[in-house]
Amino acid sequence: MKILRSIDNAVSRLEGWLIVAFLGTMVTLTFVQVFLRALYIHGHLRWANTLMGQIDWAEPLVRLLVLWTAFLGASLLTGENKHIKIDIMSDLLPRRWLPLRELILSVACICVAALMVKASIGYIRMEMTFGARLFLGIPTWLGQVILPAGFSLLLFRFFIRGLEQTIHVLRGKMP
Amino acid sequence: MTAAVVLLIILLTLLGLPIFAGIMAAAMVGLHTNQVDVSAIAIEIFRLANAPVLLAIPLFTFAGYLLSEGGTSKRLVRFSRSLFGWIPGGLGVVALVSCAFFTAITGATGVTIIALGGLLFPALVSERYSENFSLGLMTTSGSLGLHFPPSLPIILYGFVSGVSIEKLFIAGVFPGAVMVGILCIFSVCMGKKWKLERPPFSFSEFMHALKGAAWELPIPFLIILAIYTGFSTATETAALTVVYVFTVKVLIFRELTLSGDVPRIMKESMKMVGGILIVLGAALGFTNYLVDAFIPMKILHFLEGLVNSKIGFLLILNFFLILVGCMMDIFSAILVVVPLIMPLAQKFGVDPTHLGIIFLANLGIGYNTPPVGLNLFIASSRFDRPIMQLYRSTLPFLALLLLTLLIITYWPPLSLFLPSLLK
Repeated sequence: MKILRSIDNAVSRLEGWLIVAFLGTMVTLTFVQVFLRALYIHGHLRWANTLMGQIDWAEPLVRLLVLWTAFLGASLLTGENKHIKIDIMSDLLPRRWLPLRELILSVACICVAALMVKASIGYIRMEMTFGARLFLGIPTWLGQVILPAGFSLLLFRFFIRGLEQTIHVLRGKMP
Repeated sequence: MTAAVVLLIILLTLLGLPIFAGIMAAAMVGLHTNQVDVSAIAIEIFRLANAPVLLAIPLFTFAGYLLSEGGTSKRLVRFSRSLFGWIPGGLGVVALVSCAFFTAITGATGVTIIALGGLLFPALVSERYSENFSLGLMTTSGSLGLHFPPSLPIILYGFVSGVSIEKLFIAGVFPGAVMVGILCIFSVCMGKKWKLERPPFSFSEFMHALKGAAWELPIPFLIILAIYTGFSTATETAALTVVYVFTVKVLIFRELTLSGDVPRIMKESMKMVGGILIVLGAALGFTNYLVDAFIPMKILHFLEGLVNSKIGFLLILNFFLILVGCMMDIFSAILVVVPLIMPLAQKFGVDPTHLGIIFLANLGIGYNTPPVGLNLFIASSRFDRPIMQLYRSTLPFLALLLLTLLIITYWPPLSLFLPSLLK
């Protein structure tokens, strides 16, 4: 359990840094594009247009980063158990039932995440045989790696949570 | 077998299963029974990387989170106090207007009650507004301003329905103003009835407050200006907003540190975005199944037997959406319900832009509706009052909001007048 937790913390830190880097890139690249276009249209600077042509990969990259960032954010959110949910039962159920409820929910989430990992690996296999390209010659499947990777992260988080709850439920029943 | 699994998914979702997991499970079951490969969900999720509009969501959310920290809320309240404080019930008006404004600039991500409540609620009570009035006002304020740009729910609605965000932003201006306006009139009436003290208008205080808020006040207007002069698209405007807000908060006011606060806020805001987008991905997968299985058609068939007029349809829609709004958060509600309702609304001749405005108004009201409206719980924990007291105190406000809902729903020109000028 201790090892799992320290892996969890290390992964969280890495995810945090990636989020900062990706979001920073998204803002910077989009801003630069608007800035260059404004220079060309309103300042009539030829080189701004040329430079814009040079970074035509920026837009698809930024769109891809939105998806990657979203998965990293969702993974962090899973670690904190703060996903969007209908939360009426917390007040209605007796307090001692709550760990059992969490355990049941974790198991359900583990199943969904595991099935999604499998589904996205199937999708990537299919895409690899097509051999399509995204931009700058990057193969499309490389951009899609975030799907199995992201769902694996979610799976890992739900698994840790399920384990913690199991311990909790078992301890609760022992006198 | 399938029915049992579906029942299990519904039960688990009511028990508190993350919405995205519930929708994904439902989509898997649906696709499986239709003998479609489950990787269809993965395909739908990856389609998110091909949608240019989507970038507006992380960017506006980040800008909103930056604004919700530091002194922005104080400067806004001080400004509106210097402007409206002198009229009867003035502080109530101040609270309503600043909450709506704050909700708008933070993109309606649900931070308003938390950011402004601690400032405005004690002020209201100390100026001898009744506690229940103040509580009700602060609670309902949390969902005012949903209609103003750059509200995140509007962007999501635009994405799911295919209506242009530019059009939706401008359509929301009048309906949003009517909602705020009617509650302001209520506050003025109560202020007169209670004969509350009124501080005189001070021009020098007004100028000071204006100077303090001069950087943040123009944000929604700059956003509208940039979009409608064609300077930048909605998405690009989001990036410009981030750069502007970053400059104001980090370089001009020096309220947020570059090494500590900014990365933390980046992470916090992207968690929120991740939570929304994973529901969006799941909902896309689910919609894929719904369309394949002709579910909207079937609902339409069923409805046609029940109602045959636009008015009847809108009435059912209003009821249904308030019910949804008090169970679900606004983001999942839009993502799950809009694809179902869109074809029906078209059949009954409801304009998709108008439908979006009705949606937001309804779901915003659902937030304040007992027993499970989200605002009630946020306010209950923020102000440390029992939930039953909040049910009672929001009731008059709820009644007024329902009145505006009727106006918004049954008087389409209110929403459609401004967009029609655009063409």
